[in-house]
Amino acid sequence: MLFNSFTFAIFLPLVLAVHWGLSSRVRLQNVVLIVASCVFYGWWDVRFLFLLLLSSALDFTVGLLLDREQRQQRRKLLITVSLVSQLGLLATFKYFNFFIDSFSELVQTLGFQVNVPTLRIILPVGISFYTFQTLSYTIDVYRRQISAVRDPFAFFAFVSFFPQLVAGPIERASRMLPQFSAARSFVPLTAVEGLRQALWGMAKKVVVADNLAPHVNSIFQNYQSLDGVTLAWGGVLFSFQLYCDFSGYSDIAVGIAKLFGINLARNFRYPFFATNIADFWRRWHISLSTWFRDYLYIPLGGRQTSRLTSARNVMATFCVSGLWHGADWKFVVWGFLHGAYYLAWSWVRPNRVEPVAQQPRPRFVPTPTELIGIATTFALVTLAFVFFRAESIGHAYGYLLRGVTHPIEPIDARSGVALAYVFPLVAVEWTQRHRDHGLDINHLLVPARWALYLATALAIVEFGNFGEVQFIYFQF
Amino acid sequence: MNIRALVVRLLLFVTLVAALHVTLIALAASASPGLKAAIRKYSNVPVGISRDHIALRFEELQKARDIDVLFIGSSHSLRTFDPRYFEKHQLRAFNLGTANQTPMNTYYLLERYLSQLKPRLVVLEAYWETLEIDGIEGTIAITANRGPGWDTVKMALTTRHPKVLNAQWSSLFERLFGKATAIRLRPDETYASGGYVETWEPNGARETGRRKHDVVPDEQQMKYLSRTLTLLRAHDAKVIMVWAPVTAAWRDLAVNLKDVQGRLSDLSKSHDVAFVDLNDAVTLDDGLDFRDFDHLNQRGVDKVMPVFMRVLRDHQLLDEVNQRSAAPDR
Repeated sequence: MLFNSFTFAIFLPLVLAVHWGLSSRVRLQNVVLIVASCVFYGWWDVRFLFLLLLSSALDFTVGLLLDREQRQQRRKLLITVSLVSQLGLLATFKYFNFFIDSFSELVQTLGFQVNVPTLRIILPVGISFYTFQTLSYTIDVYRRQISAVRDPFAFFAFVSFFPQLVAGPIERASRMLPQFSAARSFVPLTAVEGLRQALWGMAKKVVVADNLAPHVNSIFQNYQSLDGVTLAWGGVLFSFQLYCDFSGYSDIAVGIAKLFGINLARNFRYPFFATNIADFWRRWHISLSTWFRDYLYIPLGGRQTSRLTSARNVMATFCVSGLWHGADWKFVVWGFLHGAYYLAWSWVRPNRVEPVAQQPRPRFVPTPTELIGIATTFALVTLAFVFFRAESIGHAYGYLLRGVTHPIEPIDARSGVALAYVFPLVAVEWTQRHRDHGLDINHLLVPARWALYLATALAIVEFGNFGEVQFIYFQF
Repeated sequence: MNIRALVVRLLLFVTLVAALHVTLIALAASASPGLKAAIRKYSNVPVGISRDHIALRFEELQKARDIDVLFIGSSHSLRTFDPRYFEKHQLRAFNLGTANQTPMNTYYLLERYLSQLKPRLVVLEAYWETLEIDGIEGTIAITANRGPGWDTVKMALTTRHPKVLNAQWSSLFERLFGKATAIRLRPDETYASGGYVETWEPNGARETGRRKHDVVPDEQQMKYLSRTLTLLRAHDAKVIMVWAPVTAAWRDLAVNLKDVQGRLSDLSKSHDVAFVDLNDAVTLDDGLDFRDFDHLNQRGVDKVMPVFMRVLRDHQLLDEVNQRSAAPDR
């Protein structure tokens, strides 16, 4: 079921009515959420519900056993069981054919003939998200950072919570489980805030992302007949498409969760206003980057080691993060590029404290240094996104090469229409960049607020692309 | 603020959005043709849609009563089945083909017009590409050319697409404000009484420019096709389901056509209805007998219609229509 579908418009009010109709009986509310999440998830393919339930049941059991067990060796065995089975499921459903194909290509490159059969495996929607979420739980219990939860309904509701089940934010048990364990009561002001954020997310998704998609598709498909300026424009548009698609989803997810009295983590903080690459990663897909930081980068040693080992840790983290996005080498290249950017930046400015993301209220007019930083970071990020969007590494290489070899040519196909979607978005986000989201406008007078809500809703109705276009991050 | 106040504000907000939305459509409907074209291109409001022979067909349909043969389906229907061939047999025929008409559109059109037309025989054209699409274009074409009605509202609710829902309002306002576009036929086309469109333009020796593909029927459209057959049988009409001729080059693009043909054969058998692929019944020239890759010109129609009349006779349908037509209750 998609957030931008007619079915969901019926589904959500029904679930809300039943959920809040149960007053503050938290266990029953959790049961409603679990059933709703199963319907939401099963709408794609009911078979994969089993996988979700298996994954949840396994880590719930491992969590209980870990909590009880005092012997370190047994605890290690239990966490290994959790890691191997969860990552095993992920590897089977997401990476099996990728590894087989890569092995086969490698062997053929060495001059041997090999015919390894691949399997026709369908990728279960959201498997990367919920696997990481349950894994964070067992790892935290293993590290004794949290206690195991004893209420299976609270745990299943935490893993399967439908607003963030298929595309995040990837939540931490320490933040979420207390919310599913304590009594929840309806707070109208929180619900209003949720509706505002969901409205803004929907506008980003259906007005900006889905209307940019045809322009981006056309440029990437026909790159061989286009010039560098158009190809650069295609890259810029894809950056905005991806951002609006994914951050739009996150905003809708966070907004809907608030309607149920659940606070999800912030996943984006105006990433295209980052002044350097380190700043970008504190603003882009925050729940994933902090996951990799806490469960991969720091356990590898982080930067508390030699310069070379630290560089290895950075590159490994970014490359694995790339592979997390999809079973294709192009994602590894995307991660590698970001790792290289990050290393270059950390070597140039080793002890720099990044001020912009934390500033309570940045100046409206940026300084020249800020502006140069923002433009450079955006250009580097866009360059890497070419690999993200392209069909393959060869496609991305051809795209970039064409841009360099045919920088400017008289082409009629350039269209500035897409600017009409990008410009208002940038203007709103720049103005709001010290707030949570584009419609975080509590400081305005009521008539001004209503005017902006109505304008956003009308923009969705009049200009939204309602082809029920899937969210890009569902494939991950 | 409590829950009640929140719900009231939410309802007020939704009502305001709806009211403003309808007002904007009304403003768009009264705009100049140039502005309408821009609105149509960049928004979900389909104003200023050009009207053509479909409008003439619906105008003529208003007066049509108790006909003998009804053709219904996509543009393949309106460019293949020439009612004048039936006039020679003293039979009244009408062609209710419309552009991109899907089985869903067909069902709701028949639901509205069957009791008025009371056809003895219905020739149901079910082109394979219309089985794959959602009916958005077909609904907008009917709405813009004829104006909105309960049938197009039902179609709009079935597609659930904002453009189709908006088309109901924009078409209504355009008529109210006297701003509906003028009816214009292409220079090579002539509207013939009975809903048919005649053209002599040849296709020539062009490349299709399309790749080979599988035809994937939409299950909702297949259900509507089945519902249509049930509806027709309930109205005691004889039915024949057909595929109208397309060029061989066009047909070759659809890789799995045999499978789709098999599905339609099974469906027609389950409803005790004949299904005929006219591509198998007549040999045509891709360049001379067609106006484009999938529509006949008059040269082609003049080859196809005698064969089609023979097909009707072979299935005893023409005799039955003749008998019923002569029956005293008529």
